[in-house]
Amino acid sequence: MKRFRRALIWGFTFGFGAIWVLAFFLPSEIGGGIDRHGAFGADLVGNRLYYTSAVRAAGKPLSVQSRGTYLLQMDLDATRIRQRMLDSSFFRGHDYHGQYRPTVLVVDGGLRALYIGIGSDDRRRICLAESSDGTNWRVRPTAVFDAPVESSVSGPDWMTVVDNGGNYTVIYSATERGRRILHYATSTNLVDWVDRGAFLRLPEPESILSYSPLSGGRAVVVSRLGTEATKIEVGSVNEEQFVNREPLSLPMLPFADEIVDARIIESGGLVRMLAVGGRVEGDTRLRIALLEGGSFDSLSSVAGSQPDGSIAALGSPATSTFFHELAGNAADFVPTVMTFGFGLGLISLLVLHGRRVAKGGENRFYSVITLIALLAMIAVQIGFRNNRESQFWKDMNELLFMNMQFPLGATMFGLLAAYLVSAAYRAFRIRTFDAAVLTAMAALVVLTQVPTAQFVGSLISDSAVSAGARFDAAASEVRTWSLLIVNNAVQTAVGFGAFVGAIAMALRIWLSLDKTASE
Amino acid sequence: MAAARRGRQYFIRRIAGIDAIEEAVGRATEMGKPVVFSPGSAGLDNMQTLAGLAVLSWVAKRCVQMSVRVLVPLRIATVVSIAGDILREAFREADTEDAFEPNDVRFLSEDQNAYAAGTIGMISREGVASAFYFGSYGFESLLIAENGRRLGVVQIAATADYFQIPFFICACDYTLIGEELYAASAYLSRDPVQVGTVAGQDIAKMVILLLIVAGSVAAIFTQSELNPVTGILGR
Repeated sequence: MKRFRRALIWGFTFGFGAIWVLAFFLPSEIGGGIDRHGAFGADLVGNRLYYTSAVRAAGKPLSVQSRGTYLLQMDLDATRIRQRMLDSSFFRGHDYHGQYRPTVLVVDGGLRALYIGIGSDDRRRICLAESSDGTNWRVRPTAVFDAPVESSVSGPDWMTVVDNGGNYTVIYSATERGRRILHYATSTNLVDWVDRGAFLRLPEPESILSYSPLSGGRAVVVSRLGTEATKIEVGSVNEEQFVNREPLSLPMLPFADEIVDARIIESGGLVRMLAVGGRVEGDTRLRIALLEGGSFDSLSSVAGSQPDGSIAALGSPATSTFFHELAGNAADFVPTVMTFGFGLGLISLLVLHGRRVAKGGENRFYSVITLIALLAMIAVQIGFRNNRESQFWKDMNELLFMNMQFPLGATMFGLLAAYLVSAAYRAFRIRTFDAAVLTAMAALVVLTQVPTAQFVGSLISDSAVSAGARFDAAASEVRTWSLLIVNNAVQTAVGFGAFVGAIAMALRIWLSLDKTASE
Repeated sequence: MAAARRGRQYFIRRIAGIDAIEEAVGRATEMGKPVVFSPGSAGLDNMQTLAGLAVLSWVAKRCVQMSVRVLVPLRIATVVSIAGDILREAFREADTEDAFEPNDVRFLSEDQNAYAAGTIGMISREGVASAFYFGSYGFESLLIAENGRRLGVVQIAATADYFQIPFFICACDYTLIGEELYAASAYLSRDPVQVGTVAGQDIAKMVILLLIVAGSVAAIFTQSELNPVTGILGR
């Protein structure tokens, strides 16, 4: 029987562990087309389409992209062939987590692609790649433009580049009071950029999703107001405002409930529009359509487009490895166990204190209080959650929860202050060299939090204040160094050891080498 | 692990805190008072709790041999049954299952403050001789350990929670830092295969450290803004 029990526990432990280990090591899906998750952020140069796909685009809001984006290229006359434009590199931090929305320019017979790179620090910066043949790209080792933090904390998530005969303007998204506006920067060589501030904003709370300049000072803007569907309009930009707005009617695009991005390419009397959109429900993958015509009124999908209006069918879906789903289903087991576990805890509490009350003794009083508090809180919570409008239950909830539990918890927490002082007093008694170093560093860190030397200087003379300020500044440098370098190194070392130790422990449990619970 | 199975012996340096567990149990035996073992305030999804429970197994067996009562205050209800099983198993091994008292494994509260207050109360009321804190803790670490110190309890703590380590160092007699918590059960068991996993852990750590150093050097020489050579030449 004992052997059977042990085998059962080992089997369960190993089986469940194996599911998570496989889910962790194996990809969630295998195979599938390179752009199976969607296509967006496109630009067209001649016959070649440069666009973005993403690993995690599916299921996200239509216009939100994050880590895992990458750039692709495909020729319009051979849409079955797609290839990566450039790959992330371990040694290139500025676009390590992804690249998207390329704008490709023809410069001096070669091609330059500006795109948004998601760095290893998750900040978005504008990056530059160069190519002589339009196929093989070489990325500059650093980003060319890092937008001011004031415009957007994590950097722009949309941008386009305008070429005015060698004077380049990058127009990028910024955040202002919760909505997206546009800022711009200028350059003459695509490498050195000067930020120029705000470029265009719509009346609050409208957000600009996309902007595409036209000839004659006009532009096409895609915008969104709250949760409403997007609008696509033609108008003019005047002193950061979008004026003379007129809705732009596009031909029916069955793949898209709404358009989230539009790029206009005008050349030789031909108007081409790359429109990106998707469905709000169901298959929400973004797709690209190429519309063409002599004017905006005569735009239609180009020959060779898919029946749904998109430029090319998205890559075939991948095959699930099932382990992620399996791990997810197995994880559903946890709340069930926890619910039973909580019941077990409650029973343990009731039995323990019930017995104490029955048995008597000097500590019986505390057990009575515990049981009364437990039952009162359960009763009040059941009453309050079922009658939230009832003043009585509201008052009772306020009394027990806000006026008793919270202050009691705060009192316990307040004790920490006293204990910290007494623990610090013991720790900082200088008996050894180590304790002396510890005390000196602690004193430095504490005293340099405030301008101590300035204060001391002010007690001596006015001229001593500036000397005190210089001392404070120097001491503050030492404090910062000790916290950021020395302390961080130790912290990382402890964390690193604990991390490897946790893996070893997990292995011991998974392989049932540690027989604590199974024996 | 494979080498250990083949009979190779690995050496683990002496860890004073773990050696002191035996002394702490001995003290409780001499005083005829119980010990408190807290496996932390996290759930079973935290490796530190599992490491703590592994040490509980050893401590419980030793205490049962010495007829010392083990009190286990718990913050997470799902740990109750496992901790109870571990304690029961210790009694079963010593053929004294009847002496097992289920109420010695106590679920106190999921609230951190209440858990701390309950543990402090337990240490104070039961006149505990020694206390073991092996697992993951929040701010309650100092509340419990400082009170234990004031009550003259011999305390041994082990945690990988960086910010609680100083608190335990100040308030406890012995503190195991970070990975020592995970090595404790293998150290106590003296099982060659488990000891082999600790040795494997050290080897893995060395390999990862070498990779980090190699990666740092590679990053320095491949990123132009960090490259001292191109920096000096002003590329």
